[in-house]
Amino acid sequence: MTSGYKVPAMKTGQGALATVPFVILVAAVSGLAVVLTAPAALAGPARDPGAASDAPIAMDSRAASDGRAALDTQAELWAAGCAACHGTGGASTGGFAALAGRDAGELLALMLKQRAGQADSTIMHQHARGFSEAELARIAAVFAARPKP
Amino acid sequence: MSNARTIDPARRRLLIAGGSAVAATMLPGCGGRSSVLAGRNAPHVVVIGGGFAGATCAKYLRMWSPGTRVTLVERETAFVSCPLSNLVLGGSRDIASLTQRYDGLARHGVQRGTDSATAIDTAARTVRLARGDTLRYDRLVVAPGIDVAPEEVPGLATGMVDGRLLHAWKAGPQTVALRLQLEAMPDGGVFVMHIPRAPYRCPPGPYERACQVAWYFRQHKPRSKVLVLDANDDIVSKKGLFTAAWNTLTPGIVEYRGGQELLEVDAGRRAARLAFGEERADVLNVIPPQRAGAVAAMAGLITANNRWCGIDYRSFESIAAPSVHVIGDAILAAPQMPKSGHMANGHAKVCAHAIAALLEGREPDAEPVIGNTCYSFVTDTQAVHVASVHRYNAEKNTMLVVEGTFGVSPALNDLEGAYAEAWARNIWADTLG
Repeated sequence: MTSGYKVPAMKTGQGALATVPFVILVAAVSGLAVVLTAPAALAGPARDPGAASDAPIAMDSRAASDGRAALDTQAELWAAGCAACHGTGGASTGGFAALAGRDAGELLALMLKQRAGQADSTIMHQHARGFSEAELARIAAVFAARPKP
Repeated sequence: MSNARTIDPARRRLLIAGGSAVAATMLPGCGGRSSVLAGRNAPHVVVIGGGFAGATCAKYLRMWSPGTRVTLVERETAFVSCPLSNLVLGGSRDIASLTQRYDGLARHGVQRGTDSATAIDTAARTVRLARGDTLRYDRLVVAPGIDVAPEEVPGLATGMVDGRLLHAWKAGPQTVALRLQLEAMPDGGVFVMHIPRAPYRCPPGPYERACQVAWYFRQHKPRSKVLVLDANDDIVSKKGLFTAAWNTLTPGIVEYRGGQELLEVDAGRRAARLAFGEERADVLNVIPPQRAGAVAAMAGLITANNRWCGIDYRSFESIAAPSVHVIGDAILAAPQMPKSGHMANGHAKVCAHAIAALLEGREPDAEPVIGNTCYSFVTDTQAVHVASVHRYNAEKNTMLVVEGTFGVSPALNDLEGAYAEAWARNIWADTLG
């Protein structure tokens, strides 16, 4: 099955939404570190020609042009996988390194070393091999954009 | 298709119109702080089951789709972790240390009811609850875990009724009761465990249990034995590591026999009848065959072998019922996808992410990735891991192990004992906190 996912028809309605900007509400409502990624952080890293998969980074151009924050939600989902060990949003409760607010370049360099078997690792070399270099860079950007815990 | 999350006119309309005309009934015990966006007309997602899958899904839905009302239906008032529960049998942990309340989910605006589903109408999109409420949903997430199926082994169901035979394959009172049976067993006794054919919950779990019981015997009942009878032809997970543990840490205590189909159980005599004779035990622990939890059958979601729920891996939407998703141990998993807490936590995130997209009229991620890590304790301090990464392959319509990601620890070690404890604390917090 290679066709697109069957998306249910949108329901429409009328009415007024509160005028509070959406991203602010998200942050306020969830009480969590919600990534308000600067567009610059989403500028795609160099493509890894050997990558298993390099889907284009999805961005909403309308969001970028009107100044609202856009999220690389695909990378956000990948990064959420890291949270099982490294804590929700990369805010570890201990034992595993906290990732929130770390420098993206530092995180990427470490994961690339682990992926290549050139850094001490018990399981990270296995997990890092699940992603291309470009994908790891996007995961690193997600954590870098979060506030330090 | 766009993966960017922004508010746009279509979403604004959705948030206002909502998907449901009827807001969810407030449940007793609901502690959720209602948000501005998730008002009466907001889309409503009902999650049934508060384990690693369901609780994670409820939390991440609220994080990723704050305009959506999320109601978690769970019959228990507390979460008890299956991971680490074999340490209760080994004696280095108590059940309280594995038990947590659900209060943390309220901070995310998850509404919670201590209740259970009694009927599900996937055409009308309603869930009837034991306490009498009926919930309407726009999307339903079914996360029932496994049910044991003792009726598949003659004598097993009757032996389980009065508590003589314990499976302890759902952490909780049975875990504590099995530990008490081990404590009451005289030195020189035999602990016999039977393992069902895969797939079952937690592939390495039975072998970890053998390690833990042997570790207890070595320290306190050194003349006692552990006999592992496995319906599978060989050790299903981490074979080299478990064999090393039995040979070096508890030499002479554990005997393993593969290819042992269990034909009948006699609870009164604590006897297991096999194709080639009978084994009698001082403590008999039969891990029963398993299937998706009863809620899955109630909703008509079981599609494979009368046991498991077929789903689309991009969203975990059922192949049997639209707008119904199944996550966790209840799914028909692709080959090499274990039924584990870590996987369930990962299913939940893919599912929550997909539901957030679908509620906004977008497609789910076309190529989800789910990682797995399973630690097993071989003593009270040493552990070993198996880990892998699984990626959706559209052409084959399944999850495939990414090359180079599958592997186990090189040896028994203390470092991973510390990591296993840290893993548990972090995934509990990620699931419930």
